[in-house]
Amino acid sequence: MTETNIILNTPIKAVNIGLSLLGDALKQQEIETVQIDWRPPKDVNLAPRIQEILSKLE
Amino acid sequence: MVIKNFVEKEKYYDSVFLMRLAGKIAAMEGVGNISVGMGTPLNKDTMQDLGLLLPEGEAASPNDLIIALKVADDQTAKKAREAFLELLTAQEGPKGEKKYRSLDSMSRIVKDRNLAVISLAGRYAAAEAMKALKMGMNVFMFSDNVPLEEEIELKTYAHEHGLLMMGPDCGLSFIGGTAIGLCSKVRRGPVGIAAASGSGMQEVMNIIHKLGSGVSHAIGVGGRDLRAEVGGITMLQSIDLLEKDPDTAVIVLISKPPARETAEKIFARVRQCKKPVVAQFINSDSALAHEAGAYASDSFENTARLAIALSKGEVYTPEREENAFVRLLPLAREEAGKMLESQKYLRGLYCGGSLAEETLTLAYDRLGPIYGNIAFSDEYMLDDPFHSKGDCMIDIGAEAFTAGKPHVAIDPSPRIDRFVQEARDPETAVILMDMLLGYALCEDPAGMMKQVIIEEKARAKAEGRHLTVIASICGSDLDPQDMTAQEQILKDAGVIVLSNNGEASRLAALIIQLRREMLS
Repeated sequence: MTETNIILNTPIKAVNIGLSLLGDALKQQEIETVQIDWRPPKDVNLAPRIQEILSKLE
Repeated sequence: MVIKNFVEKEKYYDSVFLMRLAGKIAAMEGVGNISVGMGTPLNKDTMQDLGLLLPEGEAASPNDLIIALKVADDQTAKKAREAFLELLTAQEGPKGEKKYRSLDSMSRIVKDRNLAVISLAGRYAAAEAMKALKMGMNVFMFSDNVPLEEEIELKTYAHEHGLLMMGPDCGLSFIGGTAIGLCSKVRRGPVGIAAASGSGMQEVMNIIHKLGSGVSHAIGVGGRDLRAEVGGITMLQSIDLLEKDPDTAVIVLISKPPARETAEKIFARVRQCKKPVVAQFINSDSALAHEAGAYASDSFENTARLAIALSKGEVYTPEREENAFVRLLPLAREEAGKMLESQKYLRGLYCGGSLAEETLTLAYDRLGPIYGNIAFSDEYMLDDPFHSKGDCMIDIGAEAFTAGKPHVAIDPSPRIDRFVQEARDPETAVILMDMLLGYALCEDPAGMMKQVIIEEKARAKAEGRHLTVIASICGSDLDPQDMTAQEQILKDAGVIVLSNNGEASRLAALIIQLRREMLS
């Protein structure tokens, strides 16, 4: 392990991915926070799942 | 009343955000019901069950926002939609704030981030966490249902690169005075904490604060960190960090029962630690802690008091359990004396899982084993978590109650119905609850329960019963909720409010014990 983690004693600069509630709570405490406007990928693994469902129907 | 659906094309928001805004519209005059969500099958099913789904809502895609309303007339529907969209715009942050669609696009412009907070669904969370770690960020991961092998991979990578991987399944951390996740704000001070138990850590932080001391850092390591497969990677790393940290004088470790081999690893490290260590591993053998020269504790209050005493170089002798009961006896007698013969059982309704476990531990000596959807042996696990039997502890945060809903600390509403059910059971003597405060937690947990407590206590009285309701508040006066006001709301509703969960559990157990004696 490197010795360099200084998160405990450095001002937090955050990026929030997911529930905006959690990013807003940091902003409320005056923590610099970037909200990522994240969206679920449209086609993740749908093909295998559709195959699976189709195979069950057969 | 008319049903109306509005579909806003290609507008994506998270479910908790939408739920909070919808709550504000529900209070508008002429609005009977509202359900807002992305057009996913699950959300459409919910709207269907509520009788709010029309064909236009049914036709929406998962990337479209559906506003489903039951309102007085078309005019109100239009107004409610406009008000909702205005709220959305207002909450989206200042105009001109730069938005990024991914960590990659952000990292081309913003290069100074040192913490990624991730709360995506479990199947997407690990990939984003790994990206963040590779960019040199520490990670706080609220998401659960992340595969165990991904957790191990993330934690190993983080450890090798001197970064902290807090979670997955990490409810809160308190780093350098900042509350991260669903977390109380407390005074800074000499006690450093690492915990694999969210509500346990929050309770210890708050007791330390109430006693006038403070917390340097509290590191959530995630619920599975002390499993054999993970081996306590983040807890071991946290001990290293807190040992080196100049603001930390004493280290507190908290966990649900750890795997034996992980506990051995942790205590081998503790033996080498230059700072005093207090270990509270719930329902677990304290011999390992003693052998390692650590102080073992079995209640959150004792953990807090021990840590404060050690930070001052003082000796702390825990109050004898017997004395604590003697102190509570007059109040317990008064409550037990007002009850009907049928009333004999304790029913605990908890949002914090570790607080519920503490109650199981503390009540054991008086009451023996307690049933529940958490229990210390399979024999006492409820077959059906929706129906209590005997003395019973219900963790409302369990999946059976919250499937498809936000975390119960954000939205404790599943507890309301269960309260009514328990209050109307003629065998219930005492209902025991926790009230969690803090950043990102429910804005008004006491207010949410107030009406139902008043109504059910009155109903019980009309039937000749006396329903005792006991609560403790797990929060601080620095939290965004007004703690004093929360306490007053509960007291005005006739609730007995005690300073922490341990004290509340003792009173509850004592009342039940007195009831048993009276009835025997």
